[in-house]
Amino acid sequence: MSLTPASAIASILASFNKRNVGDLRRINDECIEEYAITEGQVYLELSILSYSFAKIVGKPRYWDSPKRMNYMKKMSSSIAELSIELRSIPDDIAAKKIVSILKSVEHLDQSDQRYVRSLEAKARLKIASILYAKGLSLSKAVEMTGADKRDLMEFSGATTMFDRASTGRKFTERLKDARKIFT
Amino acid sequence: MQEKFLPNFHPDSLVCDSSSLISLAESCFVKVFYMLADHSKGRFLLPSGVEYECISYPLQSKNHALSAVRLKRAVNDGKFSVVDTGQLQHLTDEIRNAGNSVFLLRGHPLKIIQQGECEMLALAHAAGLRYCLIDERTTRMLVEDPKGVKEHLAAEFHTRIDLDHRALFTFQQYTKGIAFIRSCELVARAYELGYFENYGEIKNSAFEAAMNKVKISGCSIMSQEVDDYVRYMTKKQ
Repeated sequence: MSLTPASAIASILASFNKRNVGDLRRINDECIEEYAITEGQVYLELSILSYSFAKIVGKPRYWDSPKRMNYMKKMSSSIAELSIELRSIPDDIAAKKIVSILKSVEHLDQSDQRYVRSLEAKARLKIASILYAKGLSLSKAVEMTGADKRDLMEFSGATTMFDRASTGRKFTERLKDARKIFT
Repeated sequence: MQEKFLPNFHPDSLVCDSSSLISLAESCFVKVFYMLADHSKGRFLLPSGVEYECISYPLQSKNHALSAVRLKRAVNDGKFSVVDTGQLQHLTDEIRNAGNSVFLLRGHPLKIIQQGECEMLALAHAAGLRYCLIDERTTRMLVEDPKGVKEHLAAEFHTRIDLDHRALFTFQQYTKGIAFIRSCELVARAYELGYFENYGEIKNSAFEAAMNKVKISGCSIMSQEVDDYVRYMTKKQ
């Protein structure tokens, strides 16, 4: 049975409140898969959200002050409200509402930013890498996520994705062609 | 059949996808194009979309301007020919639509390729050219081994994937006969032609390092393939 935005956000909320990184990653995988199949924008936003939360939940610095804890509680409330709304609103409106929650996540990330690349940018790159590994083309993965193609190639090149599938013709045949072209 | 608005390109010309330009530029191997251009009667052809993606657009960015500058210089030095593919939009769309109808998941087409890669295929088809340079995996495998792509998708999506034979036939009408090489083949051929001679007794190490670098930069080559390549090439030298 395919994933719905409502079920995804409910799972994200439960996992966020329990600080369960493993479950957030699993939900992230499911959202990415659904996005690859349907290209529904709401699934991209849910993928970014679940990825971001997995990163936040796993880092003590986001929970180490009353101010940040308060912020987390507000975020949890926002998601809880959204979880109820999602049962009755169309997916495109749902996507916009998730984007507004993501802005809060970005705000939290920027308050103690450690890397040049923002959490959202990292999420998009990671999602693009997974889409490419699953079998979508490089340009398709870039188009669907807004990731940079060079960044994606470098990211994917550092993984084992090319070892997990056939690369077609033997290299000796390709080299024969190269020799015909460049004499 | 050669499209009338296109110039006549030598049959050894190589239509380039952005993925290979990126791998080689990011690995600091743009000079490989310089060397190989002198060893071919054909040209390195850049569809206009590839030129924009690899040169014009990133020139405006801090992060990737350097590789764009290197490629721009190669264009200015005559090592690449940029081909205006504006009139190929309809053909590009046909190839993309066919390619995106080949695989069905839950009865719906799974869209796996995009304008960029299809523009390269469209130019090769329209110009009657056989050779394409691409490091990206999916497009290449869709042409070379569509059943393999189907199996891969089924494994990755954990579900049955159906193949639309009519869509595949249409796609293959545009792509049959196209032979793909990757940036690693360019590096290997350059090695054979003496590109690494300046390294003297460590030229084999240089070649191995170069092959690993293009792999890490995104060329779709298996780790085992790199090892096999190095063994094969360095044994012959």
